[in-house]
Amino acid sequence: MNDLKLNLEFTKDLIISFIKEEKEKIGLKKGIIPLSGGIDSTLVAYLSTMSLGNENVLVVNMPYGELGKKGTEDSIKISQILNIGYEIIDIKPIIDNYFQIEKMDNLRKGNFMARVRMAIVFDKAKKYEGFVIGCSNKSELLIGYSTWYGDMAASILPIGDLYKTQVYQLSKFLNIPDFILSKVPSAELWIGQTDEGEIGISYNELDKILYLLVDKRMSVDEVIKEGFDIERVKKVKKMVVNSQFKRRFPPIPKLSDRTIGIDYLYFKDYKNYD
Amino acid sequence: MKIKVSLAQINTKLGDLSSNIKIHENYIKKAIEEKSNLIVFPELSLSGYYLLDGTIEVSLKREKILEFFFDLSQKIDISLGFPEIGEDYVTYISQIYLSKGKILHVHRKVYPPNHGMFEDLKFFGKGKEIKSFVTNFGKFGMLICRDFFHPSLALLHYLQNTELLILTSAIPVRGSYREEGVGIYESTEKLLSIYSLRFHTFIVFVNRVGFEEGIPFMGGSMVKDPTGKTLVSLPLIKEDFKTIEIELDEIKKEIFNLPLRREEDIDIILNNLKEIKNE
Repeated sequence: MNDLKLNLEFTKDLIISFIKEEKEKIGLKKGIIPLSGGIDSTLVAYLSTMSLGNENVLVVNMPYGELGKKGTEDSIKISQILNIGYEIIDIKPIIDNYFQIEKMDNLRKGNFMARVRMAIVFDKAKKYEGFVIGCSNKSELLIGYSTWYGDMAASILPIGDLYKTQVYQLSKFLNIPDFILSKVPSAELWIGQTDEGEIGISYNELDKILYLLVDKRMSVDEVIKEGFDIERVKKVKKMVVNSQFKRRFPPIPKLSDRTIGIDYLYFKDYKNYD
Repeated sequence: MKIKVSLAQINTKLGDLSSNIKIHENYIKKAIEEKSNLIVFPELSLSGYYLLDGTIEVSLKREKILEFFFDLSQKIDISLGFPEIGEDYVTYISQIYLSKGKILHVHRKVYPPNHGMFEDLKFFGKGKEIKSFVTNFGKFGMLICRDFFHPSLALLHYLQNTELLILTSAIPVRGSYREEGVGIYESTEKLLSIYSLRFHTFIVFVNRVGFEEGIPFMGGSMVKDPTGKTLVSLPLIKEDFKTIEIELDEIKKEIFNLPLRREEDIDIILNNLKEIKNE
């Protein structure tokens, strides 16, 4: 079983080069990061600062009132360590305004908050002539544990090919402080919420199952034979399949000879004006 | 015969021919300053790799490439990659070799891959010829990326007594979930070691760097001598340029020490191939 160990120096160099090259291609100077104070966004802030320089990174922390207080405190500490600019915007008034006219369950609330944060961070990007550096990792992208057009929305996703357990490896390697590393991962949608509690499986186990299903192209039966719990493997597979839509461009019914997303095929990097 | 070779491990701007021509010119001038005899650029160095629908927009006749680099090719031999529009109007992934204002050879990628992240065959045709060609320095051959993952094509060069094999590519990084090294680099290096050692040839391997839509190209260009030894290696994922002098005559000694070429019997290969085909 691959323990998902990384060549950390190479991984760091590659991601730093990626952010730098994307900045040049996009043609904007500043990287704008939604910093929650969790490990993913902290790692992205570290890598972005190493790549763009501290003067070209701005983080935006967007707590929902008291619920995000700890995240705000940690975000300020991280910003001070990295000597980068930060802004704190409490989204409670915006959110509560809508909550008053629309009764929601926790899932809808969570999605709504993620999309409001997205709207704010893109607005800040426009204001400061920057681009949005997203913080989604491979584990959450694969199981769809993220909000479509919410926290998934970004100009680039530098840690999108790193599983959560690999995010920890790289974070330790970059000497990210213990007050971040020791935090229990949480989307902070309500008091006491944890990612692992909500997903119903530890990241350690989730990542191993995902690695076998995705990277090693194993079937559900084959993964179970590796010694994993039947129900949990089935659950992970279902989450991956059911969230496929989040990882694709929205389908367009084809009428013409060249339809966007089907046979109008260009990388975004392609630049030919002739 | 000695030859000074420059390896241009460059990044390219996808679809932006005029910017890429300037990048090439700058490196060619640098190689001329270093009194180099040959400069090698990676696969599709003039256009970038993932052209997709842009393939038709940026493909060029080979004569156009000569036109762009006619003057510079008087001073140094140039091997570069470009999307070629053929006499049959089919597009090919081609590597051209210019010398003294002439096209000495064009190799068209024989095995454009079409799986996973590769879509070459969706947009390009397949080359059919594996031919060595005579330069002012010796007998050279060219293969492009997936071509040289097929030992059969390297063997064809061996049978033609190719002395210097120019292998160009746009190999993306992968196999990086490991504590040390980079999977794809190690497997490429092993392959080139074996080719150079057993086919008794010098290898000039030039791979590009940079990203196209997040796909990182590996770099890691190198020169191998006929003992499998790495004479020079360029870094992974970083743009770089290096010049090295090599003595092609070293091949003679290696062939004398281990006379594989002398033992080789092309009829045995041919007859067996025919039988395999007819089985």
